Amino acid sequence: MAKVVKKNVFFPDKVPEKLLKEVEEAFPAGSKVDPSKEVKTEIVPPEKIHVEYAGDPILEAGETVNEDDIIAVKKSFLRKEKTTSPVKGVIEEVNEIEFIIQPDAEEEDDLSYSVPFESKVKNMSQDGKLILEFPAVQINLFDAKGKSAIGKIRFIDSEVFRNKKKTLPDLKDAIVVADYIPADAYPRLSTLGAKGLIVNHMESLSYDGIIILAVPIGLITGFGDLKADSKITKYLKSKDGEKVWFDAEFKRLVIPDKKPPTWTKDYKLDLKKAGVL
Amino acid sequence: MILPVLITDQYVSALLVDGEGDSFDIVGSSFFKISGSSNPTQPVLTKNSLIATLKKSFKNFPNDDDYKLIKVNLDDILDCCPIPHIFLDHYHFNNFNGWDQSDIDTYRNYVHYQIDIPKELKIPIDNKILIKEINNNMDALLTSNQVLVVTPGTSDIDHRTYIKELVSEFAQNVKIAGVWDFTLDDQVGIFPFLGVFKHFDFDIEEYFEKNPLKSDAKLVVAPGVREIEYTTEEGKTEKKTLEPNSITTIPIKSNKVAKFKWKSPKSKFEGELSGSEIGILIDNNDRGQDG
Repeated sequence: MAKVVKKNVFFPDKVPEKLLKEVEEAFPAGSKVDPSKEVKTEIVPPEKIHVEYAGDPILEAGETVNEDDIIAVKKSFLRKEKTTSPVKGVIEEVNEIEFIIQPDAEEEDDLSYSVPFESKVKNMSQDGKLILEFPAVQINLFDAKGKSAIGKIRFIDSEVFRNKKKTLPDLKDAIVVADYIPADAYPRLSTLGAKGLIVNHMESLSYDGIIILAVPIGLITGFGDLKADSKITKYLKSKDGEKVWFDAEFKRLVIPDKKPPTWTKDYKLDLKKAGVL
Repeated sequence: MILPVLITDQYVSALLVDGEGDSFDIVGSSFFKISGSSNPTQPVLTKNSLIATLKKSFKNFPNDDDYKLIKVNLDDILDCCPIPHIFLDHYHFNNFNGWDQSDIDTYRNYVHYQIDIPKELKIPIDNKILIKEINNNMDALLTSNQVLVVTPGTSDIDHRTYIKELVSEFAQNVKIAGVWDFTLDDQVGIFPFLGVFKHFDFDIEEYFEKNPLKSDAKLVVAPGVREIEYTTEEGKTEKKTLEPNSITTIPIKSNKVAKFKWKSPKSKFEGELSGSEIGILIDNNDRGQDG
């Protein structure tokens, strides 16, 4: 079984529902795309609303109002009749019969979309995923668990994790790669902003003991005290800082690479050198 | 033709069966380990790759329209075997109580990389499974004198040594006097074989009564016996003193029969015993009050 292969990889990227149409138009099947191109949708302000009132207004034009705030009151002998605002917004005008209120725009998340990798669009799937294709080096992991993640490779010396006195670096958005980390270092990774962890080796009981998966974790070579493959290590170090896809579901690390080294075509681990045999 | 196939994540066992009416012939058998795929997003073994491999294994593989592929499901077929059987599946073991961390790591690495598991790890696995299986099957063991040991992936080690050690492990866990014939099935052929019976709806028990399995090892548990006498087919009579609490091999091969006589406070026997591939193993270890 090849440990490392060079291949074209398909990456299914979930597109925000509100942008599906725009993305499909901007990124048609067969087009080349890259992360610099962003699809945005304009925020259309909501229409003004007219609220008829009874009695006397207690707010003026220009004032802000929240939903259910009282804007007018009519006093009668027995009771007060109140008019409340149905929305949060700004009072644009108050005339003799009505308030004209400009509602606040809803806060929209994800009103922009860009692809994570330089790639070619295969198609848009029926469940709203943009299928991207790109050349990559794929490292087939020994095992992995957790949800898949995209992040930038950060190669960290294991000594940094072993030595509790050492301050850990900022690992924001990183897919951390290390030869080994002790199991008690794993929980600290998510607090440092890491998106994933890939180690060369770990004891099986420690690995099994990681149940709360704040970030996905993967093993390259196996269980026990095993040597890292020098070619793989050198390649990963050369990619430090680049965006990669840790596909934990299929136990692989995908590194986009237009010109991968020839050895990555179909590379098998030397199990004897690694210490497996 | 029928092609019953058992597929696990580690290996495939298949038979090529020529049969119709109420009889059948096995014309070929194949066992191979599955090597991992470089593409984890696709199944390791597709139907096409399975057939391509089997075509290389079997001579005179039939044309595409001339055979029926039957996929044998282990869960469905395990209960169909009429002979007490012990499935020593070294690739799917997870009771690591008492194991060293490094042995657990080694075992799991070997399973992942589909490397033959070394004997040093197989024996402790055998022992754990044997204890459990013997306890679960004691009633059947008491009434049957055949034991089928299914142990995929042992073709790499010396069978004679392996089965001797296996039988010795079995003997340690059996507390009663008796005679058992062991058949070692390292190609897991029994399960596709049972699949054929199920397919044709034949009587499995009747078949095995008429066709006993070949004996790879014969174990005689004779607690406290210190001396035995046996006479071979050639008429030669031998008296042998047995070391106390030991297993002694008497060189009677398969297809040979000898008349045996022994007596002890806990075990008495006079009669014929047939041999096996590795002879007859006589275990005279004391079994305490129940032995």
